[in-house]
Amino acid sequence: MKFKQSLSFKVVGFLVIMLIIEIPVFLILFWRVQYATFNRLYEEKGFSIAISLDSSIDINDLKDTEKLQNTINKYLLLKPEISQLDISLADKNGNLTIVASSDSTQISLNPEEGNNQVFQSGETTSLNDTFSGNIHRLHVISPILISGQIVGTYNLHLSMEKSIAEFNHQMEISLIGLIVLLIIFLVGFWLVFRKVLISPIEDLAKDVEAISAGDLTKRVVIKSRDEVGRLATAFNLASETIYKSYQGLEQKVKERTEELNKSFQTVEVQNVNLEENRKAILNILEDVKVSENKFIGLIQSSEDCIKVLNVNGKLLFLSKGGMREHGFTSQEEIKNWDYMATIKDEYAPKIKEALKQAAQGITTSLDVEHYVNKDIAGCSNREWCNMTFSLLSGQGAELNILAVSRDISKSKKLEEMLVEEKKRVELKVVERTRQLADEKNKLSSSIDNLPVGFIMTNLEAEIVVANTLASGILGTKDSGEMFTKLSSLIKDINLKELVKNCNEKKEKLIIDNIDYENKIYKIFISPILVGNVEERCIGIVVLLMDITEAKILERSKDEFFSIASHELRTPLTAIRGNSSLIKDVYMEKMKDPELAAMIDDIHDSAIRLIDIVNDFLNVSRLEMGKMEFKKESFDLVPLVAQVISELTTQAAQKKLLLKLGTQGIKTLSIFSDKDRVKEVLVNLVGNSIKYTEKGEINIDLVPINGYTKISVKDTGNGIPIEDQKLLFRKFQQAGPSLLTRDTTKSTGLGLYINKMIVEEMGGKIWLESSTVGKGSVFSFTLPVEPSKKLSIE
Amino acid sequence: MASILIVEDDPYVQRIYQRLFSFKEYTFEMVSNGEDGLKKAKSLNPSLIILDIMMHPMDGLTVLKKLKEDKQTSDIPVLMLTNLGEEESIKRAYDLGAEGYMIKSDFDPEEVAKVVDKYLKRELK
Repeated sequence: MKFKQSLSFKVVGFLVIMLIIEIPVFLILFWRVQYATFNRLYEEKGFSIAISLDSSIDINDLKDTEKLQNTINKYLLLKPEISQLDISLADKNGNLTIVASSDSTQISLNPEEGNNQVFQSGETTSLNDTFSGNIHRLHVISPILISGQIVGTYNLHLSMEKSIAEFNHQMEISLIGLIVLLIIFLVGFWLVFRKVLISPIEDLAKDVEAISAGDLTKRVVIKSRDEVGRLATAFNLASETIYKSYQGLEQKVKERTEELNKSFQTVEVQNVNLEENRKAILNILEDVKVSENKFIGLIQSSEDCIKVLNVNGKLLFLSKGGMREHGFTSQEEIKNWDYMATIKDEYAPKIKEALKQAAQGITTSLDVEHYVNKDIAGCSNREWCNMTFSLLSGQGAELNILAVSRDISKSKKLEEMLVEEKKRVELKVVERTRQLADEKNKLSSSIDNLPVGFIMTNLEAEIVVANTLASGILGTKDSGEMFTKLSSLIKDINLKELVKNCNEKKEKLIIDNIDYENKIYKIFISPILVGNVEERCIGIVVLLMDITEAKILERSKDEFFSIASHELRTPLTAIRGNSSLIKDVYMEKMKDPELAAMIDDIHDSAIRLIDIVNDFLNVSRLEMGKMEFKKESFDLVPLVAQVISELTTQAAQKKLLLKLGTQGIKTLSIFSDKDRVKEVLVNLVGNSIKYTEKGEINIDLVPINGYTKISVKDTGNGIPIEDQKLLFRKFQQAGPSLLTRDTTKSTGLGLYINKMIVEEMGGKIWLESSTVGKGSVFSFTLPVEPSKKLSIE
Repeated sequence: MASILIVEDDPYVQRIYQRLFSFKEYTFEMVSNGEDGLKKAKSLNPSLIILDIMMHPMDGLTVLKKLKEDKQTSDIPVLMLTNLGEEESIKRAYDLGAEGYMIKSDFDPEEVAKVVDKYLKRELK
């Protein structure tokens, strides 16, 4: 290590530099302070001198220049500090001139600048000498005041040179002493520094250098306990650690080397194997090459269209089949053929992609459309092909890609047709669906607008359709609830059973007069049958008819009926009965024939009234279906005989003959209501008697075809043709106008009632013939046996 | 003594039969309700009961039934008095044992007398 690099040098250098800088600075500062002190000292001196000067000179003296000069000289002697004293006075214009001075050469000269200042300001001032450039000279200038007026100035030149010279001398001595001291300090410092710091460090450095030279076992001698000692200890520890790790490392390296040796041996063995494999692969590759050639030969002879292309689509080989497809006859023709040009533009990129994929070993298949022209060599004769691209062999630019194509022209056509068909079908379906929706809506609308509750169930007895009215009647929209309520409504029938048996029974059902929640219903149940040949039940339809109103009407009609008939008949009975009694019992006592006639009239009127009331009531009952018919099989012949016997008297009164016309019939059985038949017969015969003046009335019985015809023939007035159509109607007697009705004869309801009765019994009644002036024939038929009527219509 | 018991609540009808029977000099009793009718039937033991169907509070058919249930009165022939339109009642009356019926509004004094005679004479025999 060179000295220049050592710490000592640095430290010492630093100190020296510091001193070099500071000493001058110190000196200058010190000097300035002293100078200022001197300045101040002389200034004070000057001020006091000025004052004493001022007091010793009066106005008279000023005029006397000699006196002035003497004063000046006196002062100069007294005060050695004063180097020069000038007294200046101002003339009339204010210009100062030196009137007296210690330096005779100065007299009559203008004083220095400072004098004018003081003359103006009137203040005693001290100034450093700037005039002659002598810095050790101080000027104290004071104004001369005579009776308050400034007439001139005193200018005291004070010299500090001596003092300064002394000062400098002392300074020199001090400076030398200082330097000596410093040198001693420096040397001492350096020695100590060296001992305490530099040497230990050097020793430490030496030892560490030895360690770093490679001797890891060497340790540093620790000489002290200060920072250097600490460092030395640390070094020892570090070298200890290093030594230990070095040892550890050595061990590891040994181990590693052994392992590596082993691996190396293994690798050698593997190398040998690899070499063998390499040889084997080479053999295989040779075989492959041979196979490849065979394969290519196969491709070429194949009848299918097989192509070998390179990755850009250039044809390398074409099979026999391919040649046929593209219309080539020899291998020569295909040499410059651009295969890709036969493919429709939109498919070319797809093929290119497939070729790329194949080059990577991925087999792809796609449908390709060709330009078709069977006549030109090179164009395809198939429109659509399915081509499969796969890697055949080769590497890099010499890849061979196998393309096998299959004609799918037909199936493509089919595909297109299918799509077309599908579209058409879809349209149809949409149309159909719309139609069905319309139908459904019509149906739903109709069902919903029915004035009856409409419910349909399926075979599981679940309600599938229910219109608004049905929900309203049953009081719920929930189909499950509806079914429960419906079942409770029809208590006697198990709806579920009915639905299940629907297929077997296929029966319709009407249930009348069901009371449910203060209303009366009539229910129609019918199975829903589908199928033409074999009808199969798919559920039931239930119609709920609210007949409350109708029933109420019926009942009120009934009530009216009973009340009316009762009310009318009782008084009528009284009239008739009493008049009858009068006639029979008291007639003998009555002398007056007029009275008798009146009683007769009353009696007859009563009877007529009763007839009218009965007719009305009968008509009403018939129309309402309230009349009961007791149908039975009975013999007609005795009934006819009975009627004849009952009406003979009446007929005899008009001298008419009433008899059974048909001869030879002893017995004739019919199935009907005996009383009603009699009624009809009586009515018809009665009519004949009424409208016949002379002759006879015959009753004929003729069996026809399961029926018996009963005819009443008379020789009466007959009925004109225009009146015939009015027969059998309510209230119409055969007469042209209401007013010409013969009200004396009947209510006109007779034939109408007959008609209703006969038709109710399953027969017919009509005017068979009538001739005016000759007579009429009324006929009616009755069934011989009971007919089979459906219980439900 | 052959007598007739008439059970009829309508005064008009009552009076007609009364007049007729008075003239014909039949012995008869008239009551206007079923209860009395039953009592009288037992006490009078008539030869014929003419019984109105429509009565109140006890109607004629109930009276008929009770008459036929009671051994004392079950043999007495009963003729129902009816108005037109009461066929159902007539049928039931027959089922309960009535002999026959007469329609009030068809009242013919001679006819009525004939029928009544038949029953009175029967009784006598």
